[in-house]
Amino acid sequence: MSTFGTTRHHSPAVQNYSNRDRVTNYHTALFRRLTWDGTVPLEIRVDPKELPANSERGLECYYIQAPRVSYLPLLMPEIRRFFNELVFDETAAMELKDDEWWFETAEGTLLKWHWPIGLIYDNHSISLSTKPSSSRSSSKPASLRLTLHLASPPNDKLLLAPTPEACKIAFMGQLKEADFIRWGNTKRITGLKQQEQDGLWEGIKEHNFDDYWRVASKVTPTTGSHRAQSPGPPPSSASMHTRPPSADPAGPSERDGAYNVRSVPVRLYLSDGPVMQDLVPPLLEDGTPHTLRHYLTSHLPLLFPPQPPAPPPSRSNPHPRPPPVQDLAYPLIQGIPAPLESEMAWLGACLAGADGWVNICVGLRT
Amino acid sequence: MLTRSEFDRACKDLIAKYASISHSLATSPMKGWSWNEHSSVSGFGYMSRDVTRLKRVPSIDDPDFCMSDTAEPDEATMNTSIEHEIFTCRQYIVFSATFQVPCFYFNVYNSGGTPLSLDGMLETTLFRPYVVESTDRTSFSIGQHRAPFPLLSQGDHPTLGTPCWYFHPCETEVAVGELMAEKSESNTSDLIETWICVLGSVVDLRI
Repeated sequence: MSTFGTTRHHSPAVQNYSNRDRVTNYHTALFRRLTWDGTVPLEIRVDPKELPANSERGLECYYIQAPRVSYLPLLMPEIRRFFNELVFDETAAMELKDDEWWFETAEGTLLKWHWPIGLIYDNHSISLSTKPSSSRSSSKPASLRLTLHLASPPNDKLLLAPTPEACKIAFMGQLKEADFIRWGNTKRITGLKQQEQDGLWEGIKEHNFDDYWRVASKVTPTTGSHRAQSPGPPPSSASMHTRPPSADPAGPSERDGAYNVRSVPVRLYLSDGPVMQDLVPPLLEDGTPHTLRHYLTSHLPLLFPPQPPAPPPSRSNPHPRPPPVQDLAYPLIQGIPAPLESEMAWLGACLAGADGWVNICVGLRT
Repeated sequence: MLTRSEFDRACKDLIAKYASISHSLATSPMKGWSWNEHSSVSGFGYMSRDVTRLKRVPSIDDPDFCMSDTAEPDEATMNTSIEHEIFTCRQYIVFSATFQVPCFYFNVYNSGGTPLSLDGMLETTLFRPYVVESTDRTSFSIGQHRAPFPLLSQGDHPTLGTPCWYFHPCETEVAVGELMAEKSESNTSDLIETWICVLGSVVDLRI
């Protein structure tokens, strides 16, 4: 930094970088804000067989627009308050235990309380995509209809004790795993002061973007750094590109940039089968960015067939393009059918969940 | 660190090697394992076995006494002592996709088939004493002061998706790394054997 303290004394290269950096940071912040603000509609009904005696039956459904980055144990106090105050008889309410609740979808699928709500919702959407289409034509996202049970959780299928404390430990564990995936160690998260680490969870609990990102920005890779070989268009200071050209000098975030991670924390969910998790390097061996298409084709080649090469140029077709590929499925990330040209490193920096993970739910096209 | 295919190969080699080695107290941690695959997806294989565990009998007179340190109870003692409740421990060795090392998952069931709580499991002969004495115990995990991950907690089995208890892989990775560095030539199958030995300092794997 110049001791004179005005931008006039900065070299043009640095000034250009800070303009582009500002533009890049604007887009990163925008997507992070959109992800944070994302919500899904839930419709909650207590299992009628479990409604305590003397319950107010006309009111037995609770509607909530739940944040994608939140968790069921964090919603329970509000849900419980509704049912206790408006539906259950006082004596019945007193007898219900705090950590014996559990949820099922209308189709009978058990909900994992340690999954972020957005993931639960998207996972449900893709399971509907595998069934014969009946009511999927509406443009508004359908409410996720849930049945709330108040006792006897199936402990052979669900983790114990869905308390906020257990949820916090599970959340911190996922954050540290994401840190490990990126850098091969958990030093960035464990290097935070305890108060800051707690601040991440407080941000989730209070659903406060600033509180969460005040700490998370110290440990989450940004897209401000340049990539090894950018195939992008030539630099222009008037450009609104989110990708800085490769000619940029290294900025302060270079070392921790999204394209310098060892692997992006990504999990792949199909409507059946185990959760897939594999190494996802930000750049491929040829130095090009690892795209969503490449990732999906290598893991699910039957659903995302490899793109055949363009035919050789001929007199009638001097600039041949590769034939279009028919994908049998689509990837849902934060509820969005993501474009296959998206770069995995960018997804890791801008569309990851609050626990650091990019959760990709794969639905079938009809 | 291992790749998935190295893990698969090493487990299968271990099973094959110990199929022909006779059972003894020393070899029992390596015996009885079988290889399982997911019913429709490849690349999710794991080892499993069921072993029997008893209720730990702490002796107030001897503070260092722990059943798992003594010789295996002989047939006569087991048959005549009706107070010994028998538990089944279903054990799994799975591959941790995040840490790229083996990981020990398990559940303990009573004779009625009900899974035990954490407190219940700590009363069986499954664990070494220091695990029982660890600080930071809740109903859903055992922590170690200032460690980044809990020593023992619950999670979904990576292939079956059902809840299991597991020891955090970080603990064993470091220890195994040190042991392997001392060996002059390390076959990947040795890595699993060494890892099981290190695990034996936390969990009683004898059968």
